[in-house]
Amino acid sequence: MDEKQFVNLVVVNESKLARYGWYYLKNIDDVNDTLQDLFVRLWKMRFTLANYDSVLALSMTMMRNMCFDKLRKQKGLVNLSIDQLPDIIDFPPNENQSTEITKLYLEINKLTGLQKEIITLKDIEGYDYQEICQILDLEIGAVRTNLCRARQKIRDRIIKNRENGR
Amino acid sequence: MDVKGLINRFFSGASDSKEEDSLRNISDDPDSLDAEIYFNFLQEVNNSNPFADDSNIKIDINEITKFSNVNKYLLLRRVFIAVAASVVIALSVTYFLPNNSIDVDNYYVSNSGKTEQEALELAKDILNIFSDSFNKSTSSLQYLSLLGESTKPFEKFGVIVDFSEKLEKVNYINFDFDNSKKY
Repeated sequence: MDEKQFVNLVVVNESKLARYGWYYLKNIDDVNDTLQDLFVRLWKMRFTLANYDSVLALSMTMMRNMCFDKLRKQKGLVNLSIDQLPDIIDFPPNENQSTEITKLYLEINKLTGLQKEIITLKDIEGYDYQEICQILDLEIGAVRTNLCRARQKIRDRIIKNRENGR
Repeated sequence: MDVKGLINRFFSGASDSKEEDSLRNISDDPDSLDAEIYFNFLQEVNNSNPFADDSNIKIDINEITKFSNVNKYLLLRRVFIAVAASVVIALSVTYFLPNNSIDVDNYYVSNSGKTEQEALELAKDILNIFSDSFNKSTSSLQYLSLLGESTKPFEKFGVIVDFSEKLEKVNYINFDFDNSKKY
């Protein structure tokens, strides 16, 4: 695989990977550094990339793991799970948004880390179930269940807000 | 991101899984703001991501692919080292380690001071004797014994024929015996 093929197969996903990295790192420089390191690793793997079903899913999984590694180092932790860091995949409210949206933000932040990851991948980034399974290394049943529960909570929150508003 | 499609699928019941079926009818009320709220939320999350456009992405593709040159250099260096090591080992085996396949002519020339022709004749005589009596299955000891008896006729050449003393000399005779047709 030469440089041109690598760009067309791997680097073409840079936007998706950077967006995904942002959900974890929340720092532009950190995301760019991680993205650069990720592409170096993938470049070294370029002769075996054909063995993978989805280079994008592989890249996303590696990006996630590298973000975890970076956060682990930054926080001086040996082990790190998604639920140990409540600020991973958080959706901070801001001053300009409506009360309804702010409440929704706060409610979504109460979801588990995995639920937020799945919501992010499915509803925001638009990946399908199979891709999410590959990225998060989960069975499809686990992805569906977590997504259903997360949406149920969001729905309940919306209904509750509506009822309170009446 | 197909947010509207997502919202329709999410809230209007066009789900693709059994689990999502439970979420149907939530937005049946046309006055409901549920879908709009969730839509706005997704839009805000989407817009708050600084990598929503590519302007913030700073990667250097040349920096990435330069590792291939390093790898090539490392590979060439390893190949060179391997070849050099192989040559050194081969030379060592050839010139510095004991060699049992010393040519019989050279052995006699160097050990007896005889001419090459004399040594060749001697070797030929020895090989002729053993070509009749030597059995390939003969053990080394039997071969030594046989060889010891047969060295006397050649003492007239003044050659020290002491094959029975060192096994490696038998080995090289064995070697040359196998190739005796060249004589």
